[in-house]
Amino acid sequence: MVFDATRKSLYWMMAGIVITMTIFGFAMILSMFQNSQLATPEEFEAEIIALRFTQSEDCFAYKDLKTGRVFPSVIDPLKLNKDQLQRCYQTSTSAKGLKDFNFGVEVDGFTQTPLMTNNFILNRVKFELPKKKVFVKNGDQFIETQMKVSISR
Amino acid sequence: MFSQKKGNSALMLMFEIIIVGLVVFMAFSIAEKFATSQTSNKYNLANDFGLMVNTLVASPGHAIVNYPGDLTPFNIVLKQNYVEIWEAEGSKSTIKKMFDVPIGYKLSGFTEKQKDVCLEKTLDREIKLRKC
Repeated sequence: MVFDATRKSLYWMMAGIVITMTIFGFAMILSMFQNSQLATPEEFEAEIIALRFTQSEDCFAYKDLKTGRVFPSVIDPLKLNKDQLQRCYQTSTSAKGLKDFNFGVEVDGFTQTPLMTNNFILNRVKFELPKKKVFVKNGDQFIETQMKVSISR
Repeated sequence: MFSQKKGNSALMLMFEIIIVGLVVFMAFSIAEKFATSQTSNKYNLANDFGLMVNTLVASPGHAIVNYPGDLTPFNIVLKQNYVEIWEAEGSKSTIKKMFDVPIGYKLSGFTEKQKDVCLEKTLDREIKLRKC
């Protein structure tokens, strides 16, 4: 009878631990499932952020000074430099900025090295966006070329 | 002696049934809490507003976006580098979405229990959150 009582005590101790772990595990699984359903694909988010490079006058898009009209997907070669890119987009200088979207931009035939945002690390490129067809305004000519955007985070 | 053993068995059986009932009840409570919370809605809203701000930055000139859907249950504040959302009534836990805008942009705005909410970008590089 003594062994009986000891056996039952041990059983209920272990059962208590297993039941507690099961309930916590259940809550964690629900939480992980919720997070997976709510996640936005990072390629999509990067694409939306990178739109500004070719569409916004505050980035590389050409703006006619006489009419004030901005030409989407037309690059002003005078804006194609690191200073303009920093004005257009930069992430936090803290460690958090490294985990954010950081971009490297190349325009075929017009950039010798990639233009990089402040926390972009060349050998930590996570993925690249599909190449985009753009035009570069060279005097009165519009030269067709491609823009490549790489993301590190 | 024999009746004592039978009595103990019955007691143990009742005890086990109570424990199982308690575990099932707790599992259902946790699942119900997840299903009825507004966390998913707040998270989706914050993501949507973050993407809308980035899209407006990329849109030349003056633009207005009307968020589709009834936002009456929520309070929303737009600050320079983030948008924050919490429930107007109920849980006060907030969800924040960060974003980075070009230098020279000013972001501001607050809506409280508004059904229709708009984001407007002006020619002066201001993005405002307001009632439509």
